[in-house]
Formats: sequence, C-alpha cells, structure tokens
Amino acid sequence: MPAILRLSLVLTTFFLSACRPPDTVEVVDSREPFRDDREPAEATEYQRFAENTTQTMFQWTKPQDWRGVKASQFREINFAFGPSSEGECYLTVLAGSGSGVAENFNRWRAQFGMEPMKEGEVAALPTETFLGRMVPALDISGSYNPGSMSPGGSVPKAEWRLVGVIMEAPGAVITVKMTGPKALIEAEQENLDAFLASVVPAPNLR
Amino acid sequence: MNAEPTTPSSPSAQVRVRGPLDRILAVLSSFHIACVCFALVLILTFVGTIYQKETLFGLYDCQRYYFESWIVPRVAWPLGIPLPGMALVFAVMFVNILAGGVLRIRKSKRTIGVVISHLSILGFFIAGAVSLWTKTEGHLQVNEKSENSIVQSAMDWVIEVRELKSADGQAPQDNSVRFIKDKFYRDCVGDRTRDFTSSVWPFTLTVGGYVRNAQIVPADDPDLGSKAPRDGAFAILALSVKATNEENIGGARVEVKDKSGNRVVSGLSTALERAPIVFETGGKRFSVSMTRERWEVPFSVFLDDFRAEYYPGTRKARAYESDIKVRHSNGNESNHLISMNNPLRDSGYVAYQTSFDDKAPPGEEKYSVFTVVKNRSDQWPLYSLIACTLGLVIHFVYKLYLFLNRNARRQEPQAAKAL
Amino acid sequence: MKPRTITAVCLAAIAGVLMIYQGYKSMPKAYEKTFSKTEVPPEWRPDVVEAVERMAIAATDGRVKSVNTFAHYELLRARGYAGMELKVEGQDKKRSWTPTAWLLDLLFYPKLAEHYPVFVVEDSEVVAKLGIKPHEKQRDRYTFHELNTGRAALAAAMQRLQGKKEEDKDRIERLTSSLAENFMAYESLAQALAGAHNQVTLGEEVEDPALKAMAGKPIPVMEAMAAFATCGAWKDMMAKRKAGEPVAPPPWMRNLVEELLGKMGTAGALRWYPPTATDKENWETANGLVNDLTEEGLHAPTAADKLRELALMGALATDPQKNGELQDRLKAFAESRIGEAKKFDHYNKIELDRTYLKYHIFSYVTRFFIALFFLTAISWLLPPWPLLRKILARLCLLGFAGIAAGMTQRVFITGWGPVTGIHETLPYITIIGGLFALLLMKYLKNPLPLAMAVVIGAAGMFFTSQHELLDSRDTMPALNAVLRTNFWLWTHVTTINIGYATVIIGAFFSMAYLFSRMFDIMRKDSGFFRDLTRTAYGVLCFGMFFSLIGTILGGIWGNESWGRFWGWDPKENGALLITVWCLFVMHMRMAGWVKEFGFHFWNAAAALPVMFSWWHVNLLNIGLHSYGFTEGLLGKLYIAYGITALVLIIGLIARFAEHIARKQMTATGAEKQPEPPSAPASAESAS
Repeated sequence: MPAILRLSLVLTTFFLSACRPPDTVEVVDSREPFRDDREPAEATEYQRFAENTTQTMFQWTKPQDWRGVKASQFREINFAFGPSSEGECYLTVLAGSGSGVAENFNRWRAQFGMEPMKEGEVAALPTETFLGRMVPALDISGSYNPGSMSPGGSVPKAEWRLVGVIMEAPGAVITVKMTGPKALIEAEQENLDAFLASVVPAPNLR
Repeated sequence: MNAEPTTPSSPSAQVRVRGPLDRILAVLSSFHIACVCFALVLILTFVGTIYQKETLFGLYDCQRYYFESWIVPRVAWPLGIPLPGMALVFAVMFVNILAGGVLRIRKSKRTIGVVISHLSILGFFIAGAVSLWTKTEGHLQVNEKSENSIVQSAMDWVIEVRELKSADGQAPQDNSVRFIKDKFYRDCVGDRTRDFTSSVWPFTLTVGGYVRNAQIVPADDPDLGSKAPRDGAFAILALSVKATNEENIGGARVEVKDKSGNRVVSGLSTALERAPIVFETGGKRFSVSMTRERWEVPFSVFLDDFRAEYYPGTRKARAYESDIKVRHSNGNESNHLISMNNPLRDSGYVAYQTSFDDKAPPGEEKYSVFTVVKNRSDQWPLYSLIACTLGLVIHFVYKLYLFLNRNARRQEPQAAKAL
Repeated sequence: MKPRTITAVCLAAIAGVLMIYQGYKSMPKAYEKTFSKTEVPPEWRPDVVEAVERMAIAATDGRVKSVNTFAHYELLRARGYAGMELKVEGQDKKRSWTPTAWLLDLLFYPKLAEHYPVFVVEDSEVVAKLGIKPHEKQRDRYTFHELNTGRAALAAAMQRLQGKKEEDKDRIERLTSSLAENFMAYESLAQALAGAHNQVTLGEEVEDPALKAMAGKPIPVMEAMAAFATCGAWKDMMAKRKAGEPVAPPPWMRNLVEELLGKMGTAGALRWYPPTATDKENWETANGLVNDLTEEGLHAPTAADKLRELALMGALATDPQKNGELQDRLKAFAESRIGEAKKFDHYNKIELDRTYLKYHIFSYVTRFFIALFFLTAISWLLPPWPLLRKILARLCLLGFAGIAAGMTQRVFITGWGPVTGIHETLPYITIIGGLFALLLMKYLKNPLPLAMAVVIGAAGMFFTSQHELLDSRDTMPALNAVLRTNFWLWTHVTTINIGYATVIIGAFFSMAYLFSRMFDIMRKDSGFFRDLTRTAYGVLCFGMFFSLIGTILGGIWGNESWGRFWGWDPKENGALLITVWCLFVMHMRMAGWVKEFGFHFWNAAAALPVMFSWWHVNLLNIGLHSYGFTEGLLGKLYIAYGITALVLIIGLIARFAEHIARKQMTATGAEKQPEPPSAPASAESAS
C-alpha cells in the first residue's frame, strides 16, 4: 500500500501544479475562411452593440453627462439626463408611416394641450442642423401630458419644456425629441445641439 | 473481472517478481488500485449526477468539474481533501487494467475471456479519450429551400482574429482565420488577463474580464458592479449563469497593443455583437470578435422539405424527418432522408436530426436543425462491445461448465449413497 | 428455536400487523348512502356497454384507444379505483359500475352522476381548506356535488399553485392541485354532451324559413346548431364570402351563434369521431363537428346528422319511459363509429386494447401471487415436504406465465418492445427476477430461491398495480419520436433491465445472508452459507454482465441517434453506478479487502444504486430520461432506501456481536466454538 500512496501523491502534485495556464499564450488554432465570407466593415461601438436597425444606420456621440437607456419601440436611440433622469431625449425613425413634419409637430403640441399649427406656421419655425440639413425645430413649454401610452403615465407634468426636430427623408420621418423640466432643458440645450451635430449616417455594415 | 485467484492477494502473487520493472508493473497492476478507482468512479458519478440539478451546476458544468477534469475544482468539492477527477481516475484505471488485466495476468484457457474483456475495456477508454480530445459537435441550421455548410458549436466560444484587406485595398497576407478557444481565457475573470500572440500578428491581444453570460449595457448602468469590464460607453453586465449552457452568451474585454506596447484599440466583445472590432496596426488591418465556435463541413446541406407528424390532437411529434440534398464542391449531389434514429454519414461527418421549427409565422422559413458530429472513434465502442461480450461469454460459459461438472460429480456419489 | 429466531419471527409479525393497520387506515369508508331508484339512472344493458367499450377514441395523450381504456383511467385518476359499487334501494346486492357504465351515466345523466362518490381526497385537510365540509375519515371519497360548493376556492387555489414547481409544493398543495385537475377533467367530460341536454328557443327574429319553422318551442342546442349550419341564410353568406365579398352577419345571426356556442359547453376530451380518410389525424369531438360544419372541414358532410343523433339521444335520456330506445340508439351509435373507424383503417388493435383492462391479467396475477405468498409462508412453518415445494414452484411458474401473457398482449397492442416506459419495467423486472430465482432452485437446495421467487412475484405485481394507481395515466402512452425503434427497445432496454433484475436478486440473497447471520437461521447447516455465497457471487457476475452490456448498448444507441456515445445523463450515470458497483464488489473480493461477510454486505448494498438508477434519477427532473414528477414516489423510494440501510445495519450488528462473543470466548479460555460459517471466500468458486 505505501507504494500506491506514494504513487498517488506524486500524481496529485503533478496534476495540481499543471493547473494554471501561463500568462502569454501562442495562438495555435486557425481555420480557412468560409466559402462565402465577406469582410466586415468598420463600425462604431454603438453599431456593434446596436439594439435595433436604427442604431446600425447612424453614428453619433453621446454627450458626456447623458446616460444611455435601453432602446424601445419608437425610442430607438434613447438617452436620459438630469439629477434623477427626468430629462429624456430620443431619436425615432418612423418608416413609411405617411405622416409628415406638420402631423408630428402637431402631435407633440397636443401633448402640451396646444392647438394644431396653421398652414405656413411650420415653414416659419426656426431651424437646426441635423444630418447635414437644415430642419425645422419646435420649442414649446407648458403642462406636458404624454398620454397613457408613455411610461410616465397620464399625470401631467407642470413647467415642462420640449425641444425637438423632425426631418423628412425618402420613405421615413426621423424625429429627435427632448423633454424635461424647463430649467434642465435650458441647461442641456447645448448638449442637444452637440448630439444633433454628431449624428451622421453610418458606413455600410457587411 | 473474475480472475479467480487462489489466494486473496492480487495475481501478482502468481507471477514471480523479477527486476525493478516487474516490481513497478506489480504495483501498477494491483487490485488495490483497481478498488480505489472503482470507489472513486462511484463517488464522482453519484455527486456528478446529483449536482446536475438546474438549481446547482447543470449538466455542462458537472461534466467539466467531475468527468473531464484531472482534479475536481474547489467549487464542486467542498471537502478539504482533493478529489481526483474522472479523467485522472480513468487514466490510472487504464494503466491498472493494462498492467494487471492484460500484461501480468497468467494467460491460460481459464483467463482468456478475462483478458479479452479487459482489452475491450481499454478499447472503451481509448475511444472515450479520442472522442474527448478530437470530437467536434455542432448544430447546422438549414431553412427550407436553402442551403448551409457552416456548423456552429452550441457550447464553445472563440475569439476570432482575421486579417482584412489593407486600407489601400491590398489582399491580406495571412488568409487563415486565427481563433482562441475559451479554455484559454475562461479563467480570465475580474482583473485577470492573458496575452495572446501569433507569429503572423504584429500585435499582442490581451483578453480579460470574461463573463459567461454577458449582456452589453451602457457604462453608467446602475446594475453594474465596480469590477464590471468597461470600455468606452459600454460595459458588460454579468447575468446569472444558466444551467443549460446553450443559453449562456459569453463576453469579454479585449485590448490590442502593438509591438512596442502601445495601445492600438480596445473594446468589449460578445457573441451577440453585430460587427467585430476592426483595427489597423503595422500596416495591416484586422478584425477581432467573439463568436460561437464555427466550422465549415466539406459539403453543403440543402433542405428540400421538412415534415413533422404528430399524434392525433397533440403537439407531440410522432416522427420528424428532412429531405435533403448533399452538395459537394466537386459538383456531386445526392438525395438523403434524415430522421430520428437515421442519421446521414458523409465524409467522416454524421448529421442527426435534432430539432425543428415547422410553425414559423408567414414570411419566415421553416427550418430544421441537425447535429453534425465528427468523431474518429465513432464506431469503436461498438467493436469494443462485441469484444467485451465475447470475452465475458467465453469466461462465464467456461465457469458454468466447471460448476455444472463439479455439481454433477458431487451429486453422483450422493445418489449412489442414497441407493 | 433459538431466542434470536423467535425475535426475528416476532419482528416480522409486528411488521405485518403494522402494514395491515396502515392499509386499513387508508381504506376509504364504504359509501353508506342508499340511492333511491330515481337517484340513479336505469342500468345500461351489457350489450350496449360492450358496444361503447369497443369504440375508439383519440385521447389527449395522443394514443387512439378503446373507450374502455379511456374510461378506466378517467375513473381511476379521480376515484383511485377503476370501478364503483353503490347501494341502491330495492337491490340486495350492491349495484356495480364498470368505468364505461359510469362514463355513460356521466354523459347522459350528468345531474344524477353528480352525486356519485368519485373523487378520492387523500387528506381531509385539503377539502377543509377549500371550505368544504370534511368527512370523518382522513382519506375518503367525495361527490362532485360536494366539491362544487368549494368551486371558487378550488379555482383560486389552482391559480395560486399554477406557477409553483412540483418540488416546491407541500403535500397539501400537491394534493389540492391534483384534486383540482381531476375536478376540471370531470367537468370537461360532463359537458361533452351539454349541447344535447341544453335547450334553446329560436325567436321570431330569425330570417330564414327553415329556422323560422322551428321557432317558438325549446329544442336541443345541437339540433338547432345542425339546422343553423345547413340553413339557406348561412350558406348564402358563406358562398358570398368565398367569392371575396365582405359580408357581415346580420344581428339575429350573430346573437344566435353566440347563444348556441355558449350552450354547447367547452368539452374537448371525447374525440370519438374518427377521421374520414386513411392518413388524416383529426379525430373530432361533438363540438369539433360544429367547426367542421361551419368551415366545411373533413367531417362536414355527415356532421349535421351526427349532431341531430346526439340531440335525439339527449332528449331520450330525459324520459324514463324511453330508456330502451336510448339504449338501442346508443348501441347503433357506437357500432356506426366502429364501422367508420374500420373503414378508414383507424381501428387497429382497439379490440385487443379493450380486453387488456377489461380482463386485466396483471390484477389477477397480483392476487394470485399474494395468495401464493401466504401459502409459501405457511409451508415454512410445516415440516419440509418436497412435493409441496414442487407444487408451489409450478404455481409460481404459472404466475410468471400470467405476467408474460399480459406483457405479450401489451407488445401486440403497442407494436413496440416489452419495455417502453418506467411502468413496464416493473412487470418485466418481476418476471426476469422471479424466473431467475426459480432457476436457482436447481443449484441451491434450500427453500430460499422459491421464497424469493414468490416474494418477487407478489411484491413486483403489487408495486405494478400501486404504480398504475399512483400515476393514474395510460401505461401505454404514445412514444416520443426517439423511442420509436424496435431494435433498440428490444436490445438495450431489455438487457439493462435484466441487469437491474439480477443485481437486485443478488442483493436479496446477500440480504438473506445478513439476516441469517443476525438471527442464527440455518446456523447448523454449514453448507447453507457456502451455497449462498456461491450463488450470490454467480448472480453478481450475471448481473454485472447484463448491466455492462446494457449500459454500453445504450451508449451505442445514443451514438446512433444523436451522435453522443456517453453524455453523463443521469440515467446513463445510474447504469454506470450499478455496473461499477458490481465490478467494485468483485474486485474487492479478489483484492482480499472483503471476505464472505464483507462481500455480502457490499453486495446487499448494491440494491441502493439499483433503486437510485431505476427510480430516483427519473425524479431528478434532469436529462433525457426524465419522466416527470409522480406524487408520492419519492417518499416510497426513501422508505426502500431506509429498509436496505436497516438490513445493512442488522448485518453490521451481527458481525459485531459475533466478534465480541468470540473475544469473550478466547478471554475466558472456553472451548473453541465451531467457527462462524465463513470458509475463506476466495477459495470458493463461483458460477
């Protein structure tokens, strides 16, 4: 028996010592490329981890003090900001919806209890630079009631402000909407401008 | 097996011990080692079965901890004394059987059956080792009316590095896709990192922050721990590890340094990413990405038709089968039917009907999933089984013959007395 | 007799009394109520019941089976016994119901059937918690009518327990959910002919001449349904829709459909209309006929007539005078279903299936073996009488032939090998184990093999019937796709189970050895222990052989079916445990680690891995061989583990006692006692 004990002791120490791999390893495994493998294109980290196709279509820079939020339907690129994340900003692509700039602006105005804009009023709106074009921007304040569809519920928020732009592209409408308490939006206006300017179409993936 | 020694000690007593080599062989062939091994197999198998419960380790981890390991890791064996893993036990048993059951056993017509069956058991061990180290197994998913030749592992993650066309459009010098299996970085959790190099790379790839079930979240996500791997605007959130390993999605942080040690690029990578990290260094462009291990089989499978037959009024499948065309690169094409218990064998690969989706919503294709296995030792267990059965039958028939003979002899005088 | 032998007999007697007491305690009280003649429907004629039993039905488990089998399991699950006897006024003997007769009462006289005691409640706490007045006995039977008073509480409990895993529920919760399931299954059956019992009165607003003719008087819903689905207004609308014209049904039509569907009930269990084509799978219920009719499905051409047929039978059931006509029509109904099924080749083996549970061979064999067991026990008390032993052995063989006959019938019904699921392992292992023990009578000249064969027969068949009761599901269910291969069912499954059976037999012999050592039984006969050791060793070799081959065959099946020879699946591991245990014991003996006593100790313990592999791994709910959770099984398994452990402890005590005794002997310098019966183990040869 002692012989066996000795043997097993030697074996045990041998295998215990062989457990930890070294710190530098030479890569040995390789394979031929698949028959129809295409080369990948460069992509930003946002595109690489994109949660939806909209995120793969654009490149952008997130303002430093904004926070990324999980995307959802109609909030395809989604941020929050402010001390308790009460400020929101998100980009939406309404593909082939048929609705135009005026309809969407009027929908937003309705959330502040405002009448639809009259003809010509849209043309008179101030503009912002977005995706390399001058697009109309809406800036309204008041009591905000996004409706029961929104996670905030239907409790109206007083002293609220909305700043948003809408761009009509072929077959789609792209909107960026920022809402929050009046004072917060005032302070974040610059970040919005920076974000809008940073958004560019992405190089084609794959 | 039943070697029928005439004394309680091992058969080593039967053969005279001569030189030191014989003495070593005598120790290796001892029945004591055999018994210790059997006891260890019993313990490992029992514990490794009980711990497969979903709330504990699950099948995949149990296999790694108990059955494929040399020493059972601490997490899986809380007692202080280290427990040898099944790989070690089997290795010792292999030597023990070889020395005791084949080499040192006294060879005669009494023991021929025992020797054969011991040899056949060695055959099982060899088949098992070959399968453990060389077998590939993955899923091939084929949509109806389309073809596929890329098999994807359900279990293993790799980090793939591939040289791309250079910025000025020159073809890559190294055409192979290099990859790192997860066994090389599975222990790189938390702050631990490991460097990977290759003679064809002008850089070093550092892998760290490995997470078995990863989700990419914005770096300021409140659920993240302080040690979560971060890079840029994102971080890896470690989700709880699922007992069914197929459901886990690996993730890690990689960093590329050039020859002089300067950081070229870094990033997070998970198998769910939409695109790899692309970088340029030393005048070449590369991509790096984490993905399920994939490989291409030398033929492609075209799914002509898939059928599932159900028991009346239920969704319980009575049978499911796929009509496929196997296409080889030389243009050969042949038709096959793959069904349960009826796999396809081609070019050393075996494809089994595994799962299917035949109720895809309109616009999406029905698909069929095949498990594609390449295993050199595919049929070896069958040969070993035949040998083993033969050996045991020879032995037991011989024993029965002796027994009956003796019984008959014993009964004769008794009968005579009774008369 | 020695004091220790007397102790053994006393212990056995106490165990027997305890078992009988336990059995008595769990017996439900005989239902005392005497039903008046109007409280039970007229008896069904035997020819009518038989015709209905012969009908084929596609059950929810996917198997097409006879109505007899279907009703058997429905009643067994709810009542804990597939039959019913009640006192009826004016009848001396209790009137008894076969499962099919009960089903017919439920279908045609649901209001009366409500008062039959058909729900067994294992613990009165379950009903008390639901606000239902509990009976005196802990385990007793309740009527639908009684349970219906706690209906809301039952539904609430069901909802609460739905998300909970079986393992996490406590006993009362598990019993509550199974009661709720039985209650719902019963209701679904009771509603199967709701459309024939419920009535509707068409109003004057119907705008169809055919329907208008029926308006004003109450008619069965099914009749109205048949009339509606064939009326001109509906057909016109469907024709227009087919042409692509978007027509909305007029309000009268919408209201009528709503009312009719509401009164049809929600039954889905009785799919007794066979498909009218050879390769089609859709068996239909009465309610399904309605869909077929309105959507012009497979059964559409005859569906209206079939609905009217049911409606008529429903109406006949309300009039006691017309019971004879009802029975005639029911018989004709059953016969035409059988004709339909035969015509399109859906009637394979239904006849054989009906006789299986009708003349349940296994239940007779069980009783036979229990009688044989007592007979054998008595024979032990008598002086040795070779002829009696011979007769008992023949009878025992007859019993096993009975099990074999039952299994053969099953093989013919299913068309698959003898063992396709956990239930069938019980009779199979009983046969193998029992025959093996009988075979050993030739070599072991003592009463042990015969006793063992009888015990195995009795216990095996008892467990078979207990398992059927505990599970209360068809024991011949539709097989998973992977199991549909006769080659592997006949090779791997049969071999591995021979392995289980023989290893258990070997363990039993070793247990007998340990017992004998403890209680001095057969001490005088020195050959007894030697023979026992040789036999146990031979059986162990045999068991090892079959476990090993069976386990490897399983691996090869795995490799052929999904490319994995060995996957460390719990069932595979269990088989490995048994095989390695056998090898372990054999090699320990060769290594000299154990002598005679040690060999028997470890060999007796082989029962533990067998029980683990045979039953326990299925309850772990992991892997490919998981059969789901069966209430009460785990507890029984732990009892079996406990008994084995007890035997092992008894063996250890015996060993220890002998050791002390010998020591004292040497210390006092007493005369050398005859050696305890242990010849050097390795000197013996094994078969």
